[in-house]
Amino acid sequence: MGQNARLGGLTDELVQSILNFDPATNRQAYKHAKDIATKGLKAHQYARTNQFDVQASYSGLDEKFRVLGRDDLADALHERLSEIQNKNDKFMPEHLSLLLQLSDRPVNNTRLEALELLRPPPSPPTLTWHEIIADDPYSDDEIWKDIDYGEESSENELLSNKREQSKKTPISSVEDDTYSPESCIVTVDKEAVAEIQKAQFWTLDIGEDGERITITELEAVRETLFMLCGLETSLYMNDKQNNSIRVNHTYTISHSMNRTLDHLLSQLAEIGRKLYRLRQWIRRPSTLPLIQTFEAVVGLKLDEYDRTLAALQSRYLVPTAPVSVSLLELHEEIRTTTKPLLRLAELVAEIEPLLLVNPFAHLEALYDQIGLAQVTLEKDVFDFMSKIFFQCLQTYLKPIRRWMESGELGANDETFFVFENDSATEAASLWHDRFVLRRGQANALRSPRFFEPAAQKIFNTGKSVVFLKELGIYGTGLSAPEPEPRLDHASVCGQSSEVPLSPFSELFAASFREWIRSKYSFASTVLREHLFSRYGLMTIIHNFNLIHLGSNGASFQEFADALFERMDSGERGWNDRFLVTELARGIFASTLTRSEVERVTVRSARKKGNDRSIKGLSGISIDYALSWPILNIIQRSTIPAYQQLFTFLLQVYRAKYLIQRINWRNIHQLPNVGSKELSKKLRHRLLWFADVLRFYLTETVIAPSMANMSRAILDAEDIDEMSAVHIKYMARLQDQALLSDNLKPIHKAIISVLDLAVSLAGIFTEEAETKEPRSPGNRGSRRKRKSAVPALVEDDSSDAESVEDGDQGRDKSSSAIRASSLDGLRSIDAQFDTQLAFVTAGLRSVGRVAAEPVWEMLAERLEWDKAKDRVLVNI
Amino acid sequence: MDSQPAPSQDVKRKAAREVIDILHEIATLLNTKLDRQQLSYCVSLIENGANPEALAKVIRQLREEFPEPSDEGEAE
Repeated sequence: MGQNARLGGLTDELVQSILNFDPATNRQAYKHAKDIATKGLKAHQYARTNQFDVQASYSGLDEKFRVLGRDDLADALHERLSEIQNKNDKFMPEHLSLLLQLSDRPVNNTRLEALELLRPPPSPPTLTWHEIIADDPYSDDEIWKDIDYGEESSENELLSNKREQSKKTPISSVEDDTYSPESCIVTVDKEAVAEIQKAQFWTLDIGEDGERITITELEAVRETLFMLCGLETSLYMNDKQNNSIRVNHTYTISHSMNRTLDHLLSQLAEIGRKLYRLRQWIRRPSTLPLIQTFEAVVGLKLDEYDRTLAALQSRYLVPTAPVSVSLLELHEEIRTTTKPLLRLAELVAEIEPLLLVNPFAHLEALYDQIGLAQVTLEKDVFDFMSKIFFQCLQTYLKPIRRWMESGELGANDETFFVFENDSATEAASLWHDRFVLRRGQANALRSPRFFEPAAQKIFNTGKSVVFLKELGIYGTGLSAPEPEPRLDHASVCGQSSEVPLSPFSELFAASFREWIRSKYSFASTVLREHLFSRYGLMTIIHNFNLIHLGSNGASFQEFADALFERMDSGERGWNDRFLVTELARGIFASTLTRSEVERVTVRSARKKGNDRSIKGLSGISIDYALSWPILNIIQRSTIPAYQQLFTFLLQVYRAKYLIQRINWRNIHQLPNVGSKELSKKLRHRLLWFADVLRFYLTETVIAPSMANMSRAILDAEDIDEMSAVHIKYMARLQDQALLSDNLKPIHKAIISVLDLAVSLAGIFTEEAETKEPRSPGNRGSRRKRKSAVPALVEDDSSDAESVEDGDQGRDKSSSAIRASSLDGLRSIDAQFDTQLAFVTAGLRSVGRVAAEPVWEMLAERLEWDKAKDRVLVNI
Repeated sequence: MDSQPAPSQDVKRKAAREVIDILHEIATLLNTKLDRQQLSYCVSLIENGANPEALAKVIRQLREEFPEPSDEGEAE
């Protein structure tokens, strides 16, 4: 019963697989199913399977499939069946009959794709040794044979494809680069070679009888073009020693005469020679950037020319239209296209030796050539030269731009005309002394000629920038507001096809002015603003006026009076400068602001001689401290003029002061009527003289001048102008005030007249002194402390008792004094007359010679008491 | 009678596998809904003497009683 057991086991398993659930979960159902299966299989009533029946059934099925249109099914079934038949299986009919019975409408439901799913993945075919050996035999006789390299060339692709191992491409695709040498040889076209060899005419030897070798015109054209390119040819020979090109006379053209050909070729050689020289010149190096630019630009032009030559060549090589080969035509064409370049070559040849000396030679030469080309209406030359010129100019403009924008100079720039003289100059002379214009021989400015008009402005711009930098206001928020205008051919000369009508020099000057203006105006405007607003240039001038020139008469008078009091007090330290400074400051505080007052100082120098005389006043001088920017304008050299004027005014004031101090009573106390009259007259005259002089100085000379000067300074554009104006005005002021050197005699005469006032006053003080008894001690000291006149007045009351004491003494000396005073008065009178006459005569004569009408006016006024010839004007 | 040597176990097994493959293909062609496992059981049963008709009947019965979920899904 092993079979039954087996059957049972198998049945169980079948049931399990059909039931598709775990028997443990549903034991009853499982048991039921098992019963069915067991019962069913035990049945014996079934007949044995008839294999022929099965076969018939299957063939019937096959037919059915085909009839119903399922040929694919039929074919697949047939295939499988035939396979099965090959298997000798005893139970095959049973199996087949089972399947037949279980089949469920295969026509509709079967899909062939299911079949594909059944097929298990084919296992990779096992590699057998047979296969391996077939691929790669251990040895074969062929290894020992010589390798035929020709076989495996890349040309024989079929051979390499047979190899099965080339399924995978190798990583480095190294191709077989073995090849046979014979396959490299290209068979040569012997005729072509012969032709080429024939065309190489230079290899032919000249005939023995001097006969020339014939070449075609095309060859001659080619040789010419090559020669112009600067290449070596055989038709033209480069003569390196003479730097020239000569025609080789061994060649000729068949259809022309030798002479004409030679002539034509020599003309072409001439052109070639000049170009050749130009090319040689470019190759020479140069150190100056200006020259380097020029060489570069010329090189560029030569390149352009080479390109036109190449275009010419291509015309002959690849003609688009039939072209006639003509040496004459070529010559004509070359002449026209090369004209500007030839002109340039000539220019270079001319200036080549000059360039060492004058680095601007090329700029000047180009400038001249442009003007010439414009006049002769050679537009091509004009354009050509002008473009070169502007390109070279850009290099020259670089240091200029730098100077004008930032005030800096190159370290050792010989080509720029601004030159730092002394970098350690003090700030007060920054403008005038630190930078100078570099001048060459004959004091000519070291720059191209056409630059000179603009050089001053450039110079000033740079200096303004340096000034601003020193002031510390440059660079903070200061940027050039407008871009600089371009300086090139298109913008200067315009784009028209004709030569511009205005001369080139005019156009260039105008453009260049524009260019400069764009840089210049900004810096100088800022500087001017600064000088006027922050440093108060005008205020300073006004203050100068005030202090030195007495424009505010009241304060000047006050100062003068105080000073004279001190002077007359007789103290030893009357001109101690600290005290006098304090005095001055105190007085001027009413008219000046506090900060300005602090700047006032008074100096005094010791003078020999009588301290009280007019001349002694020249030791006093008043100073006003100035900041360094202002000192650049109001230069130190002009300040002595102010001092002189100040002294002069002070002297006049002094004279008047002294005379005014003469007590009227003293005059009346003079015994002599004559002396009384005389002294009155003198007093009057001297007073008048002083007044006239003072009026002249302040109103006629100083006031208008200062007004004009202020106006002029306001109008001035830059510091140069301002300081020039200032100097001019001060010189004029000096002249008019009779302080200049050639008017010294007149000045001396005036001073002596003023001195007369001193002596007159001196006489009267002596008189007063003699009337008073001299008591030693305190009275004298008291007298010394105060000025002469008040002492006299005050002493009268306090020293009444001493009057009688002194009376006798006075009486004794009074007569002597009376006599001396009268003499003194007379002498004073006489001197006054002479001096006055001298002064007026001198003024008149000078007024006639020079152009200052003010002298005439002064002379007129001083001569008021003379009878004049009045010319009656007939109406 | 056999010219070849006795077939080894491997060869036998391989032959049997092949037979089962072909039968499975035919079973699929005829839409018997037998999977390989079931077919191999059937083959074993038949080789052990089971009657194909009876076996077919049993399978049909079991299928009726315990229909597989996939059967319900299939549209008839």
